[in-house]
Amino acid sequence: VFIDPTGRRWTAVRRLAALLAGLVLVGLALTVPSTLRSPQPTGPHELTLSDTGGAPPVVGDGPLLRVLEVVRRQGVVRARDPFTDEAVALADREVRAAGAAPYVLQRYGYGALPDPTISLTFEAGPDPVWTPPLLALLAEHDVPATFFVTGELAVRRDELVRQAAAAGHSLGNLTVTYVNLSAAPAPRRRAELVLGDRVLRAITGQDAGFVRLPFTRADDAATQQMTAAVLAAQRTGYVVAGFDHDTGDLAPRGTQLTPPPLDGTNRTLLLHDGGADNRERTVDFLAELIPRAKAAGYVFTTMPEANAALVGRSAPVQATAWDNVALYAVSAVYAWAGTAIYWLFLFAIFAVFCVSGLNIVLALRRRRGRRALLEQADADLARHTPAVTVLLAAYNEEAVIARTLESLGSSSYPVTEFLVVDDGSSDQTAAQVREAAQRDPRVRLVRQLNTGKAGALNHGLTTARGDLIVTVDADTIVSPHTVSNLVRHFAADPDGRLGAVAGVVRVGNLRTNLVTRWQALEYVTQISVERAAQDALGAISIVPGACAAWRKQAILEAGGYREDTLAEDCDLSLQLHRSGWRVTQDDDAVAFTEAPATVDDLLKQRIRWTFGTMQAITKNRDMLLNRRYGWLGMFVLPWYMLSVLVPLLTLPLVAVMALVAVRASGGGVVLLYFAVFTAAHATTAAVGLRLAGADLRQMLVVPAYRIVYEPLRAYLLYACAFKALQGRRVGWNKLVRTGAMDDHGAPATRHEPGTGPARFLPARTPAVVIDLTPSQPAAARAEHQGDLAAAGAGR
Amino acid sequence: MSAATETCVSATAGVRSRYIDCLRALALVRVIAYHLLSWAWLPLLFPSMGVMFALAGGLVASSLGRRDQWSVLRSRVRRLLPSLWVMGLLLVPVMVWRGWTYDPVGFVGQPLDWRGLLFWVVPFATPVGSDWGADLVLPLWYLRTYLWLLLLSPALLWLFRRWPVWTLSGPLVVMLAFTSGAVVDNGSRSDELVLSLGTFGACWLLGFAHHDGVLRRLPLRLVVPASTCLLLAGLGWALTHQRLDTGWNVNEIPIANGLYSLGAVLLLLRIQPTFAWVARVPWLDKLVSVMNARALTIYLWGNVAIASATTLEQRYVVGRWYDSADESLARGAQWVITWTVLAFIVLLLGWVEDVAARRKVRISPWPRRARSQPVDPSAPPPQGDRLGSCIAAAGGPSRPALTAPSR
Repeated sequence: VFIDPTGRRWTAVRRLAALLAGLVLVGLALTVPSTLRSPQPTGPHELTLSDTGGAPPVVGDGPLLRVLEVVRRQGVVRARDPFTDEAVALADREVRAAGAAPYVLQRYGYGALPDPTISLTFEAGPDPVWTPPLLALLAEHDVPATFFVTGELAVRRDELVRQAAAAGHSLGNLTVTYVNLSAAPAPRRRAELVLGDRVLRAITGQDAGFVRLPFTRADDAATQQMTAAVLAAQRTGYVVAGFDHDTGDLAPRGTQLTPPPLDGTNRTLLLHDGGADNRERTVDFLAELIPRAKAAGYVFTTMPEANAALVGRSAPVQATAWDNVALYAVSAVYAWAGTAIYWLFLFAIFAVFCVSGLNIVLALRRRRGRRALLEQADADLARHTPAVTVLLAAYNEEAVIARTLESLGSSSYPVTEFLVVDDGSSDQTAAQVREAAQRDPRVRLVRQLNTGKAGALNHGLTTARGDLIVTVDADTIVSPHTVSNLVRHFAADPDGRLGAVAGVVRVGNLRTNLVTRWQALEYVTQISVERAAQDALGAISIVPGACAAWRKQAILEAGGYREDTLAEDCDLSLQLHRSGWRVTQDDDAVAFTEAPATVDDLLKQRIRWTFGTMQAITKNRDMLLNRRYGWLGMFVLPWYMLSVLVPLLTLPLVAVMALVAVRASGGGVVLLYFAVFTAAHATTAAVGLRLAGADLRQMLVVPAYRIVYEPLRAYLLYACAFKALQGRRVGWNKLVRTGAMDDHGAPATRHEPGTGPARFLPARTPAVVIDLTPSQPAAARAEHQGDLAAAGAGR
Repeated sequence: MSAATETCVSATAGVRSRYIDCLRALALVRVIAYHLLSWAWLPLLFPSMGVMFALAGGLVASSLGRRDQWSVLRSRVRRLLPSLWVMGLLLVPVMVWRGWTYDPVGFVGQPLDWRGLLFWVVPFATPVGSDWGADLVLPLWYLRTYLWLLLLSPALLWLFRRWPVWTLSGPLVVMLAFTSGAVVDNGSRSDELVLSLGTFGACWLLGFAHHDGVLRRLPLRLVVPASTCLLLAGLGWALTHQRLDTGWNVNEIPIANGLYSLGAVLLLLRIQPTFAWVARVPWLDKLVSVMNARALTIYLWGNVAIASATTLEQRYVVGRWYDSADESLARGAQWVITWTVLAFIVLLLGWVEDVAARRKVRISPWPRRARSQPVDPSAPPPQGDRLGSCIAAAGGPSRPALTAPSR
């Protein structure tokens, strides 16, 4: 499955990817320049900030702002727009303020108007809570206003934007993302200005040929710092529309808003219809101001009505194709991505809380009433002991095989034979086994040419004498009661349809470092919660080959071990379900395995697991959503596929959105999510450890758990998907055994009444640790004394 | 890392490190000179900050190769902080006493708040200063970036060894994001940090590569053109993207600085001349040792020395010995006074570095015993402390005989 030795698929995939990339490039080349071309009339000239000297003097009055070139000829001082060459007369006051500067920033605006005007301008909206009451208030008093809207919010709340436009208000550009244009590079400036305009044109069908620069302030020093942004706006054909009266409505509650003096001069007011939750200030302020200003003879206008330079800048237009392209592009980034994240978040919440909650409930329920069942099973086992073959497939395991056999040899169950299939090892594995056979005649060695683990196990099956097979990995240490705990379920099996009993695999070297501690917690949580829950549903999807008991007949019926997937235990478990065998788990049949202690080894192992499980499920895909297989087909397997596929498709989006969120509003949001998921995981872990009777101090890893887990999962997903597309065979990636095991003299397993103390590695069984790692000098390893069981025995 | 590389590095470490020490000393001299003179061509002559980050990266990689990561991080942070604390204990009260004003429009100085003060304790962001002290705390950004790179190093080293090219391109992508406008620098602390990580992260990673011996294996016929391209790219970017206030000064244009520094570091760390000749010039040899032993102090207090030198010169020298209009004489006098003041500061406060490094405390870092021979290549490399010194400096007068017999 997934393997394509011809490489044709990979070639096809690469061709397709290249074609898609080419199409995307051509598409961008065709659309981007046109979309970023300003729909407004632009002049023939260019002017840069350095030409103006950086901070030209600010002259004049009015809500609009522009850079003008000052032309001094024969004592006459005139000015002209450096982009359009339009000549502008300067008032005497302005000429004096200009001094000798070659360029000035001129405030200007208004025109010959019969009555004094007030232009209300709103920023930071539209807001679903505050914009509707404001629109209602304005409609009530029949007052038009000007709304400056960012493209980002416009695409999210396009209904409100349309509503405002339909009510006769004027819509102005506030850039796409409310970014400080003076600090942005030139391409970004152009994109912010032009896309902001185009989005509004596409939504409202009105031009938005004037722009309020973000972070505009009334004072001259701040205005001078905007010079680069003003130039960018002029260059792209936009009129910069500021204000001349700040009401201070965004200040915190308790401060007073500043009403404009109603002295007959024209006013342009800065107000906000969003941005903070104290907008009732703005509504109240306007409800009071409007009647008073009308009584004082003022007329309320939009900015284009009040300013000659803005005439026609809000005119109805037919949205062009490029306007719509801009609308779609901005919507994709700022509206649709947010919606997708919202659904993903719901999915994640569901995944974490509902599924882990369900698992916990099932695991706890399964716990109850199980004792009686097990006692019955133990009693049955005492009357009748079926013949059991313990089967080990070994490939270059000289470091650990003797120790494994020794731990098996002290089993309390009268095992018929310990069958070791040496899969063509090139080291001293066979000699080690022969030595063990001399001490314990039940040990039997079968040698074969190297054919792989599945082949070795199948070979073992053909010569096994027992009806029940207990498989143990060559690097795994078992407790004296593991075998009997596994086998008792068969003794108590009422209908003879029990196919396999999964044991519990724990990490034996958890004290080595954070990597092994992390895995220890994962094993415990997963096994005692997730797999217990699966057992309660009769839907165990993976019986670990490292420690399990099987009915030989069931394996043979299922066709033996297959080599076509890398997770032969998962494949076999699914095959058992398929042929109607039951599968269960014994929580007391504990085996300790040596977990990879470096990130590199962990990655290799997990690639094999993830890839293998995906292979096995793909191979048995007809079981997915198939009622015949009960919970396994309807829930466990689909859920696994979903938990692989959803992140596979959405992880890049989530990562980008997380970065955007951090930039926009600090790390708080991400930390909150992290805390929520960590809390959920801590609950599961606590229940798991409690059920397993393990040391609750392992909970200390929980905060680190997600930090390791999320990048690991991301890497595994993409590495496996990539390898599957490539169709190359993933190597066996065998872990180099160090033989490192913690001392498990302390009771690590639950004490089960009736089975005697489930003590692991009793004092009479010396744990032989052979350190075979040539890469690490003995002295370096000795630093980890605590990790080595009987380290002295190793050297 | 293979055992072979480790041996290769340590076998010649004694001789090699003289070159490294000299680079570090040169970097410090250049920093002080630039802060004093503001000549735009000085960063072109020798991009100090990139070199300092690269040397620090190499040292951290070397420590991580020998000890477990937690103890490396602990000891490195321990060496970094005390000097900063001493500076804070002395400077913050003075700034408060001078009224702690700041200019929010011109972005000179920051407001005094508890968070800013916290960064004087652990510099996760640049510690705050008033507008009066803005110049004095200017160098502190390096400590912040160093701290972050240090904390990221175990992960970075793993990533770099696994995917060297991808990891090396990470900082460049960050720079590209800021330069292209995909991300607009909003002047926040985090943006400032990310931008500096993008600018100098690649140099730090080259330090890893140098330690691992990867750089040495690259053929010069590849390295020289690559380095030239990077240098020219940096310079070209600076010339085409000049700033209004500082023009083409590479030091003030992040992407130009990053490219130029990367090119220079690539070449400097690849050529690796022996520099055994330094040992034959005793005063120079000792001076280099002193500057390395007190690198953090010199770096941190450089601007204080410059500021005091300017004040002293204005008050006592100008007009008495030469006319105030004589620019070159004035600069020369400032230069001499700066280093004199700095020498006093090193005597007064430099011992903090010994305390931080858990070495025998010495007021004068001047080596006591003359050294006539370069370090014997077959002798065991100077261990522990020399690699553990704070910023980028190797610890102590670097011969074991001269440091505390703590091992």
